[in-house]
Amino acid sequence: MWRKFTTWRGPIFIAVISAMVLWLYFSGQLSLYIHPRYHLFTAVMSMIAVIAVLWGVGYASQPNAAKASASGDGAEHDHDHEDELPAGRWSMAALVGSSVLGVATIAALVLLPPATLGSVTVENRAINQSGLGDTAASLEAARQGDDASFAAFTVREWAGILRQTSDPAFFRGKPVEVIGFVAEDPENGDVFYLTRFVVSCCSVDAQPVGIPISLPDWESEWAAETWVRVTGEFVVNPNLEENHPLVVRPQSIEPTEQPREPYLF
Amino acid sequence: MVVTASRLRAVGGVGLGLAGLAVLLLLRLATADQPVESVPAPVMDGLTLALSVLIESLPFIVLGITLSVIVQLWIPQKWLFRILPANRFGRRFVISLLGMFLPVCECGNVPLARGLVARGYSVSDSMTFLLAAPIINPVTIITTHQAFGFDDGILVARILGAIVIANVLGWVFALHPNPETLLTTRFAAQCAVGPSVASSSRMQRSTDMFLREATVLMPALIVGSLVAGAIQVIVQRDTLVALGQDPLLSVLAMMLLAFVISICANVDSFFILPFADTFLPGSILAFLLLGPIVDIKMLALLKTTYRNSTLVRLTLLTVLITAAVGTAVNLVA
Repeated sequence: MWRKFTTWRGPIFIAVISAMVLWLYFSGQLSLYIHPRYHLFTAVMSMIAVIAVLWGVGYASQPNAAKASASGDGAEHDHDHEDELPAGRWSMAALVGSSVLGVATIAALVLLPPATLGSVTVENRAINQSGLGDTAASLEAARQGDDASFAAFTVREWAGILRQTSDPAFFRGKPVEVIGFVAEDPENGDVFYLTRFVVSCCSVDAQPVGIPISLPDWESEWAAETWVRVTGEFVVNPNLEENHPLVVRPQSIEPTEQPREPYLF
Repeated sequence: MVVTASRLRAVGGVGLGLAGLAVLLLLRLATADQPVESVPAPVMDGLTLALSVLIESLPFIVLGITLSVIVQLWIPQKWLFRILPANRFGRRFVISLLGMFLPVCECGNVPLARGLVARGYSVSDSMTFLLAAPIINPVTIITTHQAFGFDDGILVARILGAIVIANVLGWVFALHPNPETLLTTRFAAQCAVGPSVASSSRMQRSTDMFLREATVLMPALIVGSLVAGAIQVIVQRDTLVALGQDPLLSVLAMMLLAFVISICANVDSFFILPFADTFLPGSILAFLLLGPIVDIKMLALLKTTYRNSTLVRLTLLTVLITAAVGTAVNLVA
């Protein structure tokens, strides 16, 4: 029994995790964890893992599997498992600890709904520190843009343009309509950041980008992490003590569903 | 008649396995839209980050195990040695280029390097492969080129740096009087038994080997990913990034970031690209050199094969060389 446990826990881990990855792939939620360019590769490899483990279960179920183990490859196999029996207190602790963590990981993958990152990570990684893309190109697009291209801008493009210029005249007549989630600005009280995460590889590298929305006492209306659609225009910040020269003066702020792909790639 | 009964049991076993997976999938479907207010936000974000590291590494682990099985069971042994020069420096140099034919990142290279030792490569030779191959392989070279082009010479410096680190460490560990003591007792014993000659089919032995590598590596990968996820919630990223402009401190900060982030070499260029504006090129290079060799997830994986004392030496040497190369590039650039 003990031997079976040490032999099969790794294969069970890899098969179950791969099956859950396949579910994420087919339900369109894999991009909550990794960039779409790796989706197909990940799905194919997960399929290989599931098939290999099931194949192994098939071989192990055959009555002659035990006999085969007595000689040749099996002898090596058996020897291996003898060694896997924990020799001391530390190895026992490591075995139990890693098993518990493995089961907990599987439980999280099976029971908890896949989630996007939230305000804890925003606080941990300063907003607009990186991930703004080609800000000069965004500026150029805005300079030549019509309403259709402004409508296609996300918070990333607007944040990039803000990095390039803070001339209020530039923004006049350029409508802002973007969605994102509400995040606190730790340095300024009268604004909140309308935020998205930019992901270049997987959500480990998620970088928050955002634009300041002017709304004194915003906390009484909107909880952090609420997804909202904001329309408005950039104007000079009415609160001169704050460190944003320009902020969005919102015409409307409406709650909206979290997009199917919450990250920007 | 016996064959039929045996086949029936095999089909029964696979059926049982499939049923188990089906139950878990049904559970997954049933809980897919349940709200999770009860889980504290930092735990949820830590978990998402940990799962992200795990899911990003998983396909490379599967690819690495598959290639390891191919190297051990499907490639004639003489092929593995024929291309190697007799001179040991030349041999290690050629080995450090072998990754060009094996497009796996560092986590996949652990099972592959284990396979090479099991197939008769010396410990130091396999280590040279293990250290160089994550960078000197077509996928990493292409993604690094996609991210950086030839700007600042980062691509060329990364390739040369990896060759230097791999060969220096290979040489240092080759000086050890009893190289097999660098390995864990369990893995050394497994190698001593040697490649098996069994009555079972090669397909069956391949599957056995796949399962055995999964047994060894999966718990390590899970623990490594969870620790990496947890640390990212605890360590303030912006504090690290604030060190961007100092020639030495920024190298150290980037090395620490690489250690914590535990991202695979095949994709790390995209990760670090957004930092290229704020950090000096030598610091970016340090991230790209250290990450594929030493990080939280890799140490957990390497521990399946090498003793702790080996890992301490490997880590210190890699950190020293990377810091020296990164700082030198920062001072010159």
